[in-house]
Amino acid sequence: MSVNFKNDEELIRALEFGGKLREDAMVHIFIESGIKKRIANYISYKGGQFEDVNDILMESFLIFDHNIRYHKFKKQCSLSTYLFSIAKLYWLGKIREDNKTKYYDEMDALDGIENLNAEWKIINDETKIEFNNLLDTLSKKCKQILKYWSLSLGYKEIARELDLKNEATARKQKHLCQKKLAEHVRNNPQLMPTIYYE
Amino acid sequence: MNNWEVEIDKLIAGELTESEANELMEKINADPSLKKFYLSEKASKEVFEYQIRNDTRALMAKLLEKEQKQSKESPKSTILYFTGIAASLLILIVSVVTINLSHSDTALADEFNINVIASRNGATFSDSNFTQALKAYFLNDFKTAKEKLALPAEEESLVVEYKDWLSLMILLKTEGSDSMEFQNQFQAILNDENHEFYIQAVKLNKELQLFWRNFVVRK
Repeated sequence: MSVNFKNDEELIRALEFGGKLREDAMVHIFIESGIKKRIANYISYKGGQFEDVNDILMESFLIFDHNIRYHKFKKQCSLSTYLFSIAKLYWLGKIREDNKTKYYDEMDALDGIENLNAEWKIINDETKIEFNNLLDTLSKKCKQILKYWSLSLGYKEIARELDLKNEATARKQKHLCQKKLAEHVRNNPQLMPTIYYE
Repeated sequence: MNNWEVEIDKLIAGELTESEANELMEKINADPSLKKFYLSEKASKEVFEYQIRNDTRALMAKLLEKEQKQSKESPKSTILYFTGIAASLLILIVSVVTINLSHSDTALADEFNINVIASRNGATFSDSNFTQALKAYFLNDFKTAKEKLALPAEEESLVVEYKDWLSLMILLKTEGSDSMEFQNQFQAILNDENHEFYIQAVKLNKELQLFWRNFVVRK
């Protein structure tokens, strides 16, 4: 049974906190808010394919989740409206990439909405391989921390699982893992993904 | 950590203003070692984000699957819903049919027929015209029953109120409870508390006023 979130503030805190709470927040936003239906209605109204809805929702949610964690959401609207806007823009962006000019006017408006910080860049297969290679170079402990965190364990739970001193240590460890990876890339330039040379 | 390292962290985290970011990017592009540091930091952060995205995507796929399962299950709920409606309709139809069978004008006339009432009251009828009218009524020969009722009785004063009631029952069966003729005769009995059939008239009136009678095919 999912947690009953009273307002957007609680949802934001849960998404930032991680762990089971983050998962509950995702269930709430993803399923209970009716956002899927809203996006599906928009896409079908605009003549899009219904089959795209799940993909659009998933990718938009990733941007949404990223922006929430990095405090890029300026709270100028409700969370569901924010997610809907991202989904809308993501879908229009995707159409633009497909060279479909049907929604040209809306795409112009798209350029003006910078505060969404949406990541339009779609990672290609080559980059995915390079990213995976880099992830392979992480130490076992770092891999575990990253895995636990992204699989919705909070820092407190990560500390307990990995026998770390406390929540703050787990947080610091994650940061150090990232720093170590950056250092590893500096020492082994051949590991640098090609997209950063373009 | 050097000051520029902190600044690069802020740049990657998107915490610098546009002008600060542009200024720092100029410095980074002009200095190969700074650029190397910047790109490696950016790459490591994006690789972490990539992993997080992949795992979050997996979690969401799980949620989507769960949601789709629920939507697949929903037709069952829809079937149950419509089955419920069908069952309710069936109950309603059965109830209306039952009400029709027991509360139609004919059914009420049978319930309040003069024979039952006369036997309850212990009345006996010696008048031959009235008896013949009564017989014709029970044979559903309402025309003859009416004709016999119109003929004078041998002891008119004894059977006059019985004749009223029998006439009313004939009207109930032939013209129905909504007919003006029935209503006039019925009101006449209802207005006369001393009438032999006053109590039966009150009871019949209650039956005729029942809410469920709105669903009844009267005749």
